[in-house]
Amino acid sequence: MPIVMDHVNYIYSAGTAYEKHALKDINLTIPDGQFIGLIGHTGSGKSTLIQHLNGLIKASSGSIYFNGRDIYDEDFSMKNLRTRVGLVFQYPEHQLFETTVVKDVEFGPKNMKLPKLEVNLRTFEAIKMVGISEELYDASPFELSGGQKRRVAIAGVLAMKPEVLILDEPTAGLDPMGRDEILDQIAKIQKEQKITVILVSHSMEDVAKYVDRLIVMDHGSVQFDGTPKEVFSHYKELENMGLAAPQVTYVMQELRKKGFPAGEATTVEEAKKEILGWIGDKRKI
Amino acid sequence: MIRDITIGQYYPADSVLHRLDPRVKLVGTLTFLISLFLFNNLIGYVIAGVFLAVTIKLSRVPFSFIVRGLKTIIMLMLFTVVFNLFLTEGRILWQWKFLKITVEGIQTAVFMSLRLTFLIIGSSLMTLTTTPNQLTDGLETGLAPLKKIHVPVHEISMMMSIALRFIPILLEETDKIMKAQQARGADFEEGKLVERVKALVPVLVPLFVSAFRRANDLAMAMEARCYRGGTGRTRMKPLKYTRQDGMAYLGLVVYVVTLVGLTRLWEMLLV
Repeated sequence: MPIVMDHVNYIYSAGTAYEKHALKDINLTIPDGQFIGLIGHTGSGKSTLIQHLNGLIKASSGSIYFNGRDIYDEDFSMKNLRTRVGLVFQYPEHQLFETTVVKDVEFGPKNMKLPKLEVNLRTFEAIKMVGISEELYDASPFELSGGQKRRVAIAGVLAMKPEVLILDEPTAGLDPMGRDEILDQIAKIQKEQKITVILVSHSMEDVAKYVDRLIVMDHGSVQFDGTPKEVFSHYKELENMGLAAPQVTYVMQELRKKGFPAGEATTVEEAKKEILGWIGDKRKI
Repeated sequence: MIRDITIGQYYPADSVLHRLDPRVKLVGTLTFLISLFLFNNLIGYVIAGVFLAVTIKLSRVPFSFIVRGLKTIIMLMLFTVVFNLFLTEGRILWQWKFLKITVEGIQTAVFMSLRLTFLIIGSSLMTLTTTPNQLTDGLETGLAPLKKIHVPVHEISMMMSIALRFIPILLEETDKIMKAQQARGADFEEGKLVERVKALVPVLVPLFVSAFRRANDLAMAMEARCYRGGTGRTRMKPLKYTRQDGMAYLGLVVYVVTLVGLTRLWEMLLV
């Protein structure tokens, strides 16, 4: 289900000393099945933005349409929207509360008032999808490691079978291996379930490899919106925002300066292909 | 919703009131609160009102921000007004069965709600212009003489400052947890009382877990910096009275004297 944000503004604590214009005139269309990376510095408004998508924050002005319907309409069910636009927050500690992993994952589908069999089915499906092994089903979620907690938190949202899955910094605080595992798993889920995924991150390296589209935010407004290649070609502007393109982009840049026919590459894999390409074709050098 | 509570929330601004020594503000607030119970006639309310208005003006805190704190006591206020209005004996203005409105009833109702309003505004004005740390510093220095009779003044004030420090953190955490559970379809607004109470479990469990974790981390961080209580502890910025503080004390004395003097005079003239 496509989501459209139309001239959305959001102001925190309006009329007080803490007033902050967190979102400035956001216009975005999020079509079905896209894998989107949302990138920005801390405080750039990315977390605020995603909370608008499932109605947890109400825009100060502007409208948001989910599948063509204005979500601020009186007869629009926010509860229904939240089960269709699943949002996983940054800290799994904020949502894990049950005594066992399975019970915790059940919370979402149970809130949807589904029949018991369906709840069980979705729960086990979701736990399997995130790669939690069977011996942990009855473990307390509080005893798990950071990466496992995060998987359980993601499963808790996946169990509602959302059409759009939003993940707020799913890799924060994980070691490189845990990070890659989780991101690979998310990419796999995205492909298999054919759902829209919005991955919020401040690390370019993380997202460049996976996403079809990158949205860069700075000071509450969208600065760039395009394929990773397009966005990373603005690496100078990205640096001014305190972000950086993946290192490999810089390597290619330097090579180009030295006179090599280097194109744009956003992942090591792409760069390798390209470089091997010229080595095979020596006349170009 | 949660952000509406102003008591215990600092409003940053650069004003005379913000710069005052916290001891002055503590004594001042206490004096003001007590002073509200020293009279029961119109002139007293006028003087207290003027004093409060002047301090609000001096504090440079927007009035709308101060009034927000009153929302929390609106129910209490309504109760007082209704009870006083209908149940006070005196000259009857209007009667329906056992309910009657009297002149005295109206008077007490108005005065009581004024008094409550002044109490709340007065105390929130202090917390709005004083950071929790300044406040406990003021308490600790102000109560220092009690150490002689073995009152653990430092420990108490340290506990207070930590507790105060944790209020906004825990509020924010509650907000985040509620959002995380709402994102999983939790509903805090609908349903019967029992259901609503049950709906709080998914909020309270993560909140407690995180509160304990935070407390643990804090204790560890304090130990790592060799904290070992108040004995022999010195301060980087000891509290010192300045001319401004003297002026404030003077202003306070003038207020109390005027209040007591004029209200007594007023009573004498009426009698």
